[in-house]
Amino acid sequence: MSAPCTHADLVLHALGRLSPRRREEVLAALARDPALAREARAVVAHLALYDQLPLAPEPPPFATLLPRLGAQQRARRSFTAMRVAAALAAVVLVAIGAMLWYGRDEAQFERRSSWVEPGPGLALTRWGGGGALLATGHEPAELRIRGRTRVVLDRHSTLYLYQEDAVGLVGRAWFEVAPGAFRILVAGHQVDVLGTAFELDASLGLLVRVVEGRVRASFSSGEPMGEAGPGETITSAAAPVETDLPGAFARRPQLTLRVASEARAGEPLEVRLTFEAPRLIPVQLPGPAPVASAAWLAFRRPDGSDVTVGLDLANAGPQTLRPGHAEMLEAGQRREIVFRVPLPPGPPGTWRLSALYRPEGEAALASPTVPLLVR
Amino acid sequence: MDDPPLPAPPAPRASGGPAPVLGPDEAALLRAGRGEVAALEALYARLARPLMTFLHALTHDATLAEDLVQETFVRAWQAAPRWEPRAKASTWFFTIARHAAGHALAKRRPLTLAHPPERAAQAVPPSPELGERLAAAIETLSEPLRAAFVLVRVNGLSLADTAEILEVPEGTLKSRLAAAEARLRATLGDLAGEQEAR
Repeated sequence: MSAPCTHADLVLHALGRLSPRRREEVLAALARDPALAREARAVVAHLALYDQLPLAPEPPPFATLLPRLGAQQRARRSFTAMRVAAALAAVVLVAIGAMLWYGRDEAQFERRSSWVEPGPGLALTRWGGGGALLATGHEPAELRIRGRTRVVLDRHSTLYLYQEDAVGLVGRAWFEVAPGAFRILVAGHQVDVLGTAFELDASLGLLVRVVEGRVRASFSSGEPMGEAGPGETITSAAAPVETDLPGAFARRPQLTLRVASEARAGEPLEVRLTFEAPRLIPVQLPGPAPVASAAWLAFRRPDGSDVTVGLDLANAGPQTLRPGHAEMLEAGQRREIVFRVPLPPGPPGTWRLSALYRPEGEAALASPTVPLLVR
Repeated sequence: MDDPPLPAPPAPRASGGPAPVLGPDEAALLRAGRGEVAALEALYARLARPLMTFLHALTHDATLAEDLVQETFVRAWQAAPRWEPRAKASTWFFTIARHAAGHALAKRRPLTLAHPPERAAQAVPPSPELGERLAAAIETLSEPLRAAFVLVRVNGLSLADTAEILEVPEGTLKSRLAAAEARLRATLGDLAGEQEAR
């Protein structure tokens, strides 16, 4: 049951600031309630007015700022001779201390740098003295720690290197940890692992999804949160929302459909279904659900009518998927199954095709639509 | 072992948005912290205009807004050596600007008391140019509502960034935006309908 649509929702909708889920709920409410739809139009029209606001005056040129920056520097120089001498002495002492401290920081940073092999798109950055961090921009990237632990850092995420076997995370990452103790600190929690592969989302609270091995999570206070094994998750009260967005962290294979660009009515059509793992992490491809049609092809004819044709997985050759048999697809790996199906009767023109696969115990995978010219 | 105790990583933003990215602004701010005036100039080129828009809408005083833009950059220059890349540089500048404007407006408050907050409908001139009517309507909002509205609608900032600048939860920000829209619409009457009719 969704929350009722409020004035704040209408304003955020008009500003384009609603979350996708809430937007869907608000659109549904608008479709149901004509009075609400009128109010929404009034809010949109009103907020559109503000495009007509006059531009603010130009900011002053940067050159006018320089005297104020310089005045500070001059003020700093207006010491008495005695103060200058005292300051100089202090500076010399501080400089010696700073050199020693900086040298220590430098050595720590160098040491941390030697642990990590950043992949393309990642660079080690100094942080807080001798600290080191790696941050991604709009694309995910991978790195290795001591050549043993592989980390795929999702976009807009930051990994802090504390020790060879201890890192901090803000954002989301996929870990493949070699046997041996390894600890991940996130705000308010810590995660201890012993040789495992799992995804950790620390963008809000904590969410750990384990694929292999075992993971133990606890609060920073030491109070245990729980343990998880393959297929299990650990979440905190304020855990991130489960998403299935495309990208490195779409934890399901992507289904695509390929057919010839043209076909003739009455002739069989060769159809290729391809399951592909994301670029950087492995995923599981479950076998088909135990139903009559676990895979089918949908045709939309030029006149708008639809027809579906079941795909016979049982007789689709050695590459087919079998019920009760899940497979792991390595990062970037593809799995293709070829079918020959009769083209249903219908008028010539451009048809639109899409495929659907129903895996066992999971939501269906749907392919993007492809065109087919029927002559 | 010369390792210090493990520091906790920075807390994620209250909004739950993505962790900050070390973009060009953040890199420039780090260089400004090391005393590079050219880096501050690059930040000025990028951020002075949006800050001017924000401060002008907040103060409705071009001279004061100009002074506050400079004040923001002077304060940022002083504090840059201590800045750490835990948040976006632009968000940090807007926060400084908001504090600077708050101090300036607090000093000026005895003068603004001459205009009671309830002046809404009367304060908008009968038929000035559209832009002036809109600006005058914004001026009738209380400071928290005005800042929220200007940052999101005029400056186009995200809810997460705006909530961080205003140091309020996102829920409070959403309420402020809704209240600002309702008050502005009451002040402007059916101006939107009139514009559509033209």
